[in-house]
Amino acid sequence: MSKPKVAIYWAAACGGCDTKILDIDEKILDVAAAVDLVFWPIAMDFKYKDVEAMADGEIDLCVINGGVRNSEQEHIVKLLRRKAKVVAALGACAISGGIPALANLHDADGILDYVYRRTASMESSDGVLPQTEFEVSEGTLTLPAFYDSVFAVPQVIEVEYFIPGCPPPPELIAKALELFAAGGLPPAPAVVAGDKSVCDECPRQFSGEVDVTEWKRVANAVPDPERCFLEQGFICMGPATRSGCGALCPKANMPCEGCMGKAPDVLDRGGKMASVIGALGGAKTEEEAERLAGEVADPVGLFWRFDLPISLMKGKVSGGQKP
Amino acid sequence: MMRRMAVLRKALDQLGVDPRRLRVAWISASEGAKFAREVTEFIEQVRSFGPLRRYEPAR
Repeated sequence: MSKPKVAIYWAAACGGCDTKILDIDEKILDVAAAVDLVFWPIAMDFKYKDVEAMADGEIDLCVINGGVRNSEQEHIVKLLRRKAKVVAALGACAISGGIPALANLHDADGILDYVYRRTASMESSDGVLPQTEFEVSEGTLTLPAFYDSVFAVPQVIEVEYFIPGCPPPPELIAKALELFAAGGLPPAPAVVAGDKSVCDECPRQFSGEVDVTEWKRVANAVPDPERCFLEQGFICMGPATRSGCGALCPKANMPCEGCMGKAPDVLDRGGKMASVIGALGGAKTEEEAERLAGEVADPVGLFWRFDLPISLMKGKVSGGQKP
Repeated sequence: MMRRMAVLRKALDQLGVDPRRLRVAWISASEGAKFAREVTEFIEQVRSFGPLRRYEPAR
């Protein structure tokens, strides 16, 4: 009986999820013994044409990390979908866009113009931008097309399993791989994590009385390590974030940033957090409410940090206003 | 309500949504004429702003 074939691909990614797979330490040896790795760009020298040569469905499990923001990534995730029986999205970028998806606050023209012409360190007397095709004497050189938006992988292909986190805790990765190797993955679609919010795993004390008079930031003040962050006036994404990480960051005296994705039953994370943060502020007048809202330094960058493309707004919009 | 709206309005502003596209009004079920006036005025105002546009997926 041949070993199951596993492919691992990185799209618009930072490399953290791939290195986290290696963070399962000695369990990687069990994985390597139990499966046949047929494609893993960070670690192995297989080429795209090796994948193209496979039969449809020949790959038993394809793990994809990173989102889709250019035509190459779109092409390869669609190719891998055809060649794989089961696809798992690993990490916040694949599941919901992740940090790179904050680029949805801009469009392709704006980004390319800024990066290639206007950054302080860029010397761009000719104003050249990357092109998708360029003729040289040897032939045509090509580059992937850069899209206006970053997409989550499930917005491009069907995905059966989701292993959240930025990066996912190695325990969840190990659990998913062990379940797969034993043929024990739950019916798809399924998330390999907890099914509550981070608050459920957080050891901090919550007195039940919250009346925030000022929103603080960890850059300027040190939280009390025993008490709930929100109660102290530090914004914590715990209430709207899926459990499964063991509340690692709160245990290290840092408020949750929400990397495990939205908690079950949350429709739109930013909307939920706007509601949570608004409600916790102790404002009695409209002026007070405006002041407290003004102290939330960057609502979009925090409330939708990891899931802007799958939010109701998906990114920045244009038009629709009078000067 | 106003506390949540204040935070939401700031988030929507960052996303390029004019804050005047979100309105909160306190109207009782027995104030039918006021309701009609508020809604009509609001719709006319938002219509005058024109449609919101999100980038078309380049796929």
